[in-house]
Amino acid sequence: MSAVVDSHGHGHEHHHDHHGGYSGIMRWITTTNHKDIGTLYLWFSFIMFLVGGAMAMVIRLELFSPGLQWVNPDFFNQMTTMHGLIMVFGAIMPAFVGFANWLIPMQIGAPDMAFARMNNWSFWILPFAASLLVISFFMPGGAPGVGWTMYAPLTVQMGIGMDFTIFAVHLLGMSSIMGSINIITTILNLRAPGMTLMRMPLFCWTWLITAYLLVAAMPVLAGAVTMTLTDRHFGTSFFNAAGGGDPVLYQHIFWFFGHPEVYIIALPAFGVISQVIPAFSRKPLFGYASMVYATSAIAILSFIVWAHHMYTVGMPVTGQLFFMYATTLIAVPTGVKVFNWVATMWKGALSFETPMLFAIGFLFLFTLGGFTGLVLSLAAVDIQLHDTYYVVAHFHYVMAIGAVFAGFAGIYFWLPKWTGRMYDEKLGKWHFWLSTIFINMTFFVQHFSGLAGMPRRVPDYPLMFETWNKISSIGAFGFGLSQFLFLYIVLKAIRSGEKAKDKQWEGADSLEWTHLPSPAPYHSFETQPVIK
Amino acid sequence: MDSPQREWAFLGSSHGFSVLLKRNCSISPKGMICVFAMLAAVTLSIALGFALAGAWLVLPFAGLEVVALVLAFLWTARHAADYERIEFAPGRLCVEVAEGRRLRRHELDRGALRARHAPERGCVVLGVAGAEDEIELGRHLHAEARSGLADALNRTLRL
Amino acid sequence: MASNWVRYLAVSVAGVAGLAAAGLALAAPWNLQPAVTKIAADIHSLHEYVMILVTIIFCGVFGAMFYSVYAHRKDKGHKAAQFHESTTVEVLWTVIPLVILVIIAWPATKVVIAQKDTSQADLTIKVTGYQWKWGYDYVKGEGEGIHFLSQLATPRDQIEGRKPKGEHYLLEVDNELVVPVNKKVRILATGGDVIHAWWVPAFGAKQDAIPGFIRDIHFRAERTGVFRGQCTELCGKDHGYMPIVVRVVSADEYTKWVGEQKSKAAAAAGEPKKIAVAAKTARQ
Repeated sequence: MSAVVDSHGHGHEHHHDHHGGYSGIMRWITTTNHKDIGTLYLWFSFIMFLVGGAMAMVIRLELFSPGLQWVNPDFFNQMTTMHGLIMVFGAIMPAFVGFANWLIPMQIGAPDMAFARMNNWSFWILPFAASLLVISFFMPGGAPGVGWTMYAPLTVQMGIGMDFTIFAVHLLGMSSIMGSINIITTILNLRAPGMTLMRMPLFCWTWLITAYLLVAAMPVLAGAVTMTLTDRHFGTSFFNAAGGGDPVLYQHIFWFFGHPEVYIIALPAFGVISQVIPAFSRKPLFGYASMVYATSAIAILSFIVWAHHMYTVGMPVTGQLFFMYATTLIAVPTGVKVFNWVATMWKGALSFETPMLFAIGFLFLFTLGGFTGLVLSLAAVDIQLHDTYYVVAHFHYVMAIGAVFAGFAGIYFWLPKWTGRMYDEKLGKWHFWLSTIFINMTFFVQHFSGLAGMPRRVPDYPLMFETWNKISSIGAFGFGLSQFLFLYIVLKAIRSGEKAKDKQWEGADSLEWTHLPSPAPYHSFETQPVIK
Repeated sequence: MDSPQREWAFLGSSHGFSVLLKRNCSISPKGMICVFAMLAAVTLSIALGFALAGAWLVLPFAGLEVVALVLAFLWTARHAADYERIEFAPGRLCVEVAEGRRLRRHELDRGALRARHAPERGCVVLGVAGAEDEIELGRHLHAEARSGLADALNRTLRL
Repeated sequence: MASNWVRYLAVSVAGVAGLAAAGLALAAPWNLQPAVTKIAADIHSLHEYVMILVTIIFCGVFGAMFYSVYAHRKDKGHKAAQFHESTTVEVLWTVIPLVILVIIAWPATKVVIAQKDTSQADLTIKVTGYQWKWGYDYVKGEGEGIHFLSQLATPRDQIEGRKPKGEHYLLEVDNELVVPVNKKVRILATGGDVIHAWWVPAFGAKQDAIPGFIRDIHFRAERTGVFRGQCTELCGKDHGYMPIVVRVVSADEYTKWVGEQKSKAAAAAGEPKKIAVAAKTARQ
C-alpha cells in the first residue's frame, strides 16, 4: 500500500513570523509577501492615477477655451506626453499587476508567488522609474513633449528630459518582464492539486496570456527607446533618413509593442469583469472555454495588426488592406466575450452592488469604444479620423473607461476580502454614477469634435470646436473630483467599515471566497486545498 | 481547509506502507521547458525580424530576456523533482531523500528512533536521541504540517 | 429609499445632460465636414453605413442586457438559471460577426483602392512640412515651377486673448495653396525636419510628411471655395499653429493666378539682375 501526500514547498523561503520580521516602513521595503506587494502596487498606481489625472486637468483647463490661457504650447505638449506615459505605465498596468499579486496565488491555491524575492524587486523599481519621469520636468528643456508614442525624429530635438524618460521606460520594462515571468511560473507551477488550467478562474487565464504578451512585446519597446537614445547621442541613424535610416521604422517598432500593450491593459480588465459579472448574476460564467480561446485569439491577433496605427504614413495598398482585414478580425473574439458576458447575465438573479454597476458600466462603455475601434479599423475612414479627437475618444473609452472601470469594479469586489471590511455601498453607488456621467461628458463629445476635424495634441483650436471642448473640460473636472470620493470610500472602509463576511458575495465561487476568511490571512494556503 | 492532523491520520494505522513527500509542481520540468522555450523562440524571432529590418538593437534586449527566462527556469527546475520517501518495513524504516541531483538512502533501525519538529532548522529531525547521525525531513511541508508529521511518525514508530 | 433617491437623481442628471448635449449638437458641428471630393463622399457613406450596422448591433446586444437588468433581478425574486454553455449559440455568434465583417470589408476595400490610386494626375504639388509652416512646390502640370511658403496668419494678439478672435481663427494663412477645380491633384508629401501631416478634411486627404521620404495622395475637388485643415502629427511647440488652406478656383482663375505668380517670380528673380546691371553701368 502506498499513500501519496502532495505538498507545496518553498523549503527555503518561509517567513513564519508574521510580517517577515520588520515593522513600519522596512516591512514594506523588504516584504516578499504577495499580499503586501499587491497592496503596494495598488497604492502606487492610485497615486500615479492622481498625478496623471492632475496633468489631464491642466490639459482640459487649457482647452476650456480657444487661445492660450494657462500654459505655453511646450508645456502643454509635456503634459500630454507625461499624462499618457504615467497613465499607461504608472497607473493602469501596475494596478492590474497589483490585482495579479493579490489574487493569483489565492485563486490557484498557492501560498505565494513563485519568485517572492524577485516580486519585491519588480515593485520597488517602479517608484524609481516614476521619479525619473517626474524629475524630467525640472531638467533644462523640461520633460519631453513628443507624445507618449515618442515618434522619431522629434525625439532628437528634446532636452535631457527625454533621456530620463528613456531610462524610466527601461526600468518599467524590466519591472514588467520580471513580473510576467513570475506570473507565468506561478500559474503554471504552483496550482493546487486538482486546479487544472481549464478550472482556473478566468482572471488567472487573462493574466497568463497578458504575461505572455508582455514577455514578447517588452524587449521591442526597450529596443525602440534605446535606438532613440543612440540616435540622440551616439551618432547612429536608425530613424534618421539623412543617415540612411527611416523614421517610419520607429513607428513600426513602437506599435509592434504598442498594440499588444493595448491588450496588456485590456485583458486583465476582461479577467476582472469575468469574475464580477457571474458573482452578481449568481450564475456560472457563460462559455468559459470560449472565453479562454477568445482571449488567446485576441492576443495572437494583437501581433499582426500594429500598422493600423499608421494608415497615414503612406503604406502600399496591400499593406493598408492586410492591416485593415486583420484588425477587423479582432472584433470577432472581442464580440464573443461581450456576448458571453451578456449571456452570463441573462436569466440570472441579478443584484446591483457597486462592483456590478462598474462591471455593467464597463461592458456598455467598453463595447462602445470597441465599435468606434471598428470604425477606425477601416483604413479608408481612418484616413479622415487619424490623429483627431475621435481617436482620443476611442482609446479613452477602452482605457480610461474600460480598464479604469474594471479596476474600480475589482477594487470594490475584493476590498472586503483584502481588508476584511465593507465599503459604504451608498457612497460606492454615488462614485459610480458621478464617474459615469462625468466621464461620458468628457469623452463622448470628443467623437464629435474629432469627426468635425479637431486634431489631437493641440493646445489651441478653431472656434467651431469650442462647445465640445467646454463640455469635455467640465466633465473632466467632475470626473477628477469624483475620484477623491473613491479615496474617501476606501479609507473609510479600511478604518471603520463594517466587518465583511468570509464569502461577502453570494455568487462568488473562486477559492479566495470559498476557502479563505476575510480578511485573507497574511499567509494563505500554506496547507494547500485540493480542488474537486 | 484540511487540518494537518487529518492528513497524517493514516500513518498510525498500518506497518507496511510508504509516505512520499514532494513539492507541489503543477507542471513538469519538461512542460516548463516547452513553455519557456516557446517564449524565448517568439521573442528571439521577433527581435531577428527587426534586426533584418535594420533595428538590431531589439536583439540584445531579447537576449537579456532569454537569459532571465533561463535563470527562472533553472531556479524552478533545480528542486522541482525533490522528494522524500519514508517507507515502513517490519523493524526498519527506510528514508530516501532526493535533493537537486543528490539522492540519499538511509535504512534505520526502528528501535530507538524518534522524530522531533525543529522549527529553527525548518524541518523534522529523525534520529536516535544523543546520536550525531540525524536525518532532516519535511522540507517540503509548512510548519504546522511538519509538527503533524513528527507526531505521526512518533506514533507509528511506537506501534 | 436612499438608493432609489440616488438612482432618480443620477437618471435625471444624465437626462438633463443628454438634453443639453442634444441642444448644443444642433449648434456645433458634430459630423464629418461636407465632402468636396468623391473620396471624401465615399468615406462619409462608408462611415454612415458602418455606423448604422454598429448601432443596430449595439441596440440588439444592450437591448438584451438591459432587458436582463430589468427582468432578471434578484429583488424581483427571479431565480438564476444555471446554464453555462451552448455550442450552437457560441458558434453562431462567432460566425455572424465574421459575415458582417465581410459585408463591411467589401465597400471599405473599394475606397482604400481609390485612395491609393494616384496615377494620371493633372497637377502635381510637392508639400514640405517645416516647423511650423508648409512649403508648396508645383512640380508638374500648369503652374510648374511656382513655389512658396505658407504660414499661420492669425495674429499673436488673438491667440493670447488681447484681441477678439476672428472667424477663421487658427485656420488662416498668408499664402493659400491654389488649385483648379475638377482636376486631379497629386500631393507629394515630405518633411523638412520632423514628421508633420497634411490634412484637408473636406477632401478626405491626409498624408504624413516624413523627412527623407516622399509619399503621395490625391484629390479632385468638385467645387470651388476655400477649404481649411490643420497639421495632424505632433511636430513640436507650434504643432497647433500650422494650418493648411486650399483655395479651389475655376480653370480660368487658376490660369490667371499662375500668370500672376510667374510674373511675381520673374520680378523677384529680375531684381538682382537689374541691380547687377546698375552696378556695371556705374563702374563704367
